[in-house]
Formats: sequence, C-alpha cells, structure tokens
Amino acid sequence: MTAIIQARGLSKAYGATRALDNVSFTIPPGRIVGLIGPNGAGKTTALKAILGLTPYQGELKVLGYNPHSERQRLMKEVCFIADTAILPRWIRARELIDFVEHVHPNFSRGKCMAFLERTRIDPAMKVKAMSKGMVVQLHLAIVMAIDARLLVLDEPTLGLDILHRKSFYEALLNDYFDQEKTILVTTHQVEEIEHILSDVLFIQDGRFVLDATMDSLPARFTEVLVNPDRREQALALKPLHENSLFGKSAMLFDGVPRERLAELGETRTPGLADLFVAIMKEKH
Amino acid sequence: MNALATVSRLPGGAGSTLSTFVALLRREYWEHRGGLWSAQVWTAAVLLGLVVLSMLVGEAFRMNLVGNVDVRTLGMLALKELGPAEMAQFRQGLEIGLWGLGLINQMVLYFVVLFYCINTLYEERKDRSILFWKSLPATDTMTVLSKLATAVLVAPFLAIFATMLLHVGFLVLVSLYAALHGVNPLPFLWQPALLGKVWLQMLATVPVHMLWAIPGLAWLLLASSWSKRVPFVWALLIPCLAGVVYGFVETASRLSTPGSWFWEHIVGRIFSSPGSMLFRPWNWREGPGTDNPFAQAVSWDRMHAVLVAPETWIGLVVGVILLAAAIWLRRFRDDS
Repeated sequence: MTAIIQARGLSKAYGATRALDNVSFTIPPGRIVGLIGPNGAGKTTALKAILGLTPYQGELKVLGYNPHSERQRLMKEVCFIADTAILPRWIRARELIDFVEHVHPNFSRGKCMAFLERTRIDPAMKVKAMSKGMVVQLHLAIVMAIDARLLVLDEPTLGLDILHRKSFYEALLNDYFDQEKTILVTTHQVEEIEHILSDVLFIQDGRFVLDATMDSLPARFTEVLVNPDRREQALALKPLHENSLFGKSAMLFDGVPRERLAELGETRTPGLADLFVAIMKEKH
Repeated sequence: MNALATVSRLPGGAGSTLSTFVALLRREYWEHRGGLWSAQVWTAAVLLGLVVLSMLVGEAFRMNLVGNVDVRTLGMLALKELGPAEMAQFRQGLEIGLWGLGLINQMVLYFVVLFYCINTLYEERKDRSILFWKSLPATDTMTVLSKLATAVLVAPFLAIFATMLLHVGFLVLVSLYAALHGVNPLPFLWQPALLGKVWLQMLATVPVHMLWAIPGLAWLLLASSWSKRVPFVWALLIPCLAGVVYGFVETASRLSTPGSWFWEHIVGRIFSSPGSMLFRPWNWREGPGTDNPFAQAVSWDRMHAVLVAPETWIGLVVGVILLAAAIWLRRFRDDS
C-alpha cells in the first residue's frame, strides 16, 4: 500500500532556529499517529509543511501530492482541525455548513446534520455565541462529514474540559476512523490519546527522537522499580531515565530484555507520558 | 441579498470553480451583511423618514403660520398647467432630486468598501480563521478575487438596489402628498423613462468604475494582506507620506510643480477607488459648469472618457500585478 505521508530530509528554518532538522518518516494508511513533543519542538511546523501552509526544504509527499505546489487538490482529501479558535466567529452554523457543502466535493450534509443533532448546537447559532466545546463539536461535525483520507488534528481539544475531550476522541474513533483513513494528531494531553494511537512520533528540537508503533513499545521499553540493593547493577544497564519514588528508584530501560530486568525489581510497561518525560529528559 | 443567499443548486456541482466562487461571494455577504446591505437600507429608510418629516413640517407651516392657504395656489397648482419648457425644467429638477437622493447611499458605499478592502485580508489572519478557510479546497486566487468582486460589484449593486427602493418610496410619498392636495401625480412624477434612465445610468457606471477602481482597491487588498498590524497605515498613510516625499524631491530637483502628478495619479486614485463614479470628491471641479452635476458625473460621455483614458488601462495592468502580490502573500505568508 502506498504511504499517506512520506518525508525525506524535511527541513525548515526560521532564521537561525531549525524548526525541522532533516527529518524522514513514513505514515502508512489506516494509522492513528500521535506527534508528540514539547512546545517549540517543531510539531506545528511539521503539520504546516504537510498541509502546504509553509515552504520547506527536502522531499515531502502527502497522498502522493506535493503539498506546496498541489495544495488545492490536496485539500480535497485532507481535513484539518487546529486548536479550537479557528472557526470564524461571525458565522452561523447553518452558513458554515452551506459554505462547505458548495466548496467541498466530498462533503455530506446528511452526515453533518446527523452528528449536529446529537449536540445542543442550533443551526442558527453564531460561532461566537457557542462555548468552546460546541465550537469543537461543530468543527468535528463538518470534518466527519468530509470523506477525506487524512485528518490532521493540531491540539484539537485545547481548552476543553475532560468530558468534551473524551467525547471528541470517542466520536472520532467510533464514527470516523476506518482502515481507509489516517489521523495525525498532536496534543499535550498524552495520557488521553495513548489508547487510541497506533503509532507515535516524538519530536524534539526539530528531530524525531522516537518513531515507533504502539505495539512495539512494551517489547522495547520497560520500567523497573529497582530494589535499593540492586541500584548499581541497574545503572550499569544504562537506563534512559531515573526517577526517585518513595525512596525507591524507578528506571526506564530501552531495549534491555525484560527477563533480565525482572531480577532488579518489579517491572512494568511505561505509559506514554513516562516515556515522553524520559526521552525528552535524556536529550536535554 | 436574498437572491444571492438562496442559490443552492449550481452547475458543475460542489467544488466546481463556479460553485466555489459563488459560495465565497455569499460568505463575504454573510460576514459583511451589515455594511453591504443593512446600512444601505437604513440609509434609504432614514431619508424617507426625512421626506415624511419635511412634509409634516411643511403642512404645519402652511396651516399655522401662513393660514390655511390652498396649496393649489402655490407650487402644486402650477404643476398642473406646465408648458413644455417648464415641464422639461421640472423633469430636470426631478432627475437632480433622484440623483441627489442616491448620494448618501454612495457615500455609505464609499466608506464600507474602503474599510472592507483594508481589513478583509488582515482580519482573517488576526482571528486565525484563515487556517479554517485554507483547510478547504478554495484557492487563494479565488478567495482574493471574491473579495475584489464583493468590493467592485456586489457592494455597488446592493447600494444601487437600495437607492432604487428609495426612489420608489420617495415617489410614492410625494404622490400621496400631491394627491392629498388634489393634484394628480401620475403625469409628472411617474415617468418610467426618467426613472429608467437614472437607474440604467447608475447600473452602467458600476462596470466602468470597476475598471478604474481595480488598481486602487488592489492596493488596499495588498496592504491588508501585508500588514502585521494597523493595516490602514499601510493602505492610506504610506501613499500620502510617499506623496509628501515625492513632492520634496521634485521641488528640490526643480523639475516641475511639486508632487502633483503623484498626488493625482497615485494617492488620488487610491482614495477615489472605493464607492462609485457618482461619489468622487472631485467630480464637481471637473468640466464646464452644469445644471446637473450628478448627471454629468455619471454621463455616458464621462463613462466613455474613462474607458478611453490610457490611465484606466495602465492602472488595470498595475492592478493585476498588485492583486497577484496580494494573492501570493495570502498563499505563502506564514505567521498565523
């Protein structure tokens, strides 16, 4: 199957800062990829390059198109939600739906209205009269009604309460995602999307520091609650990260067989957030 | 306008160039409905209110101060017995009246279009809604052209439509007033030929003015697309400052009278581009004295003069370049 996104030697500099530093990656179809990194790591720059919103150096193909020169064709097959505030505030829900219906060849009004009916959004309502949660629901209703092959989400749930965040991802998984579609999402709320991701990309200072499928993580990373008397032995195995916990030391190992680590103490598979902290700290 | 808002089935289907362009025009209308249409209707309504008020004041004045003078002994009676020469004069007076009534609509149009062009590409970056518009398959070229079309076609036609309603409302009120005083208004007030002439001339000026206005409005759009903040500084103050500098340089080099060319052809062109031919500040200093400055401002002769003037066509070329720059900036600018 052809890749949805293929980047080779992708770079982008703002003055002296290298927002993207010669990164290469491939995203196959039917995946949900989390692009995770601290502020200023280059997440948004990467998304902008993929969406054809910013010039870049290197090679980039999105759905087979060059996002820079074939932006309009690309936008017929890509959807994009940035953090809550990009819907124009003056527009009414009904006008917005009308507009998208006339501009987008792959939009289904029926699907959009069906989704809106499950919310408290009245079609006559203006965006500026809506709560943040409603604005995201409206945007999601539009995006879910577009038959796109790639959905890009940039901090889509920023500023939402936990109930709205949960229902956002639930709707995305239950009503939108299928094997034909690919979702690329950035967020700070790593724990909340951990269970829906199929792949994870960690980005730091414009470079990818981890590019792995979620399935491969347990085999590769292990967290050990090291017994105090085994600490020296554990340090010799070069943990990625050490963390003191109730007088015990929690260490995170990359690529050390779990059987070996079991001798040092209690082992478990680290969460994505632990992994994130460990890998980012290591590089700092 | 409703006609624009209710178009739902378009040839080519969703996503075709035509469907997208019409959707973009409707979007502009929705966003700026207040300036493009409501302000025009309110202007017309207020003017009609003033007409009613002046009639009431006139009546009160007639009854209370002059005594109950029979109106027929005043102007209205005279109207019944007009000779051909007087009739022609009355006709011209009525025409001036009709043009004059439309003037406020044109002034409103001027300011609405001026601020619309200055702000439109700036605001969408400021509120970041540009990211949403760009997430849809409408090109930057089409988007910017839809904004230009709103300024040079949609806005003037809506203003003229409001003026047409105003004309009809005015004639109905005056007719009622005349009828109230026993004068039959039909033969002299209701002259379809005159109304048709005024309306046709108004409508015809729109495409002519468009050719003239494209470079000026394109400059405003470019400034809007360029500015990081306060776009009117770029749009209006920079050309004025450039005019001052140009004037100094020219005076210093003693080549000609200071800066008049720049002021007339650059600054003047920018400031005269919003609005219409009817409302251009220097209409009245042009040409020989006339009984009907409005009719002259929009006369066929003047339209012809605009069409054959080389400045119009040179300006158009400049306008296309400025538009291309505005489109390029919207396409590649990366600061949102």
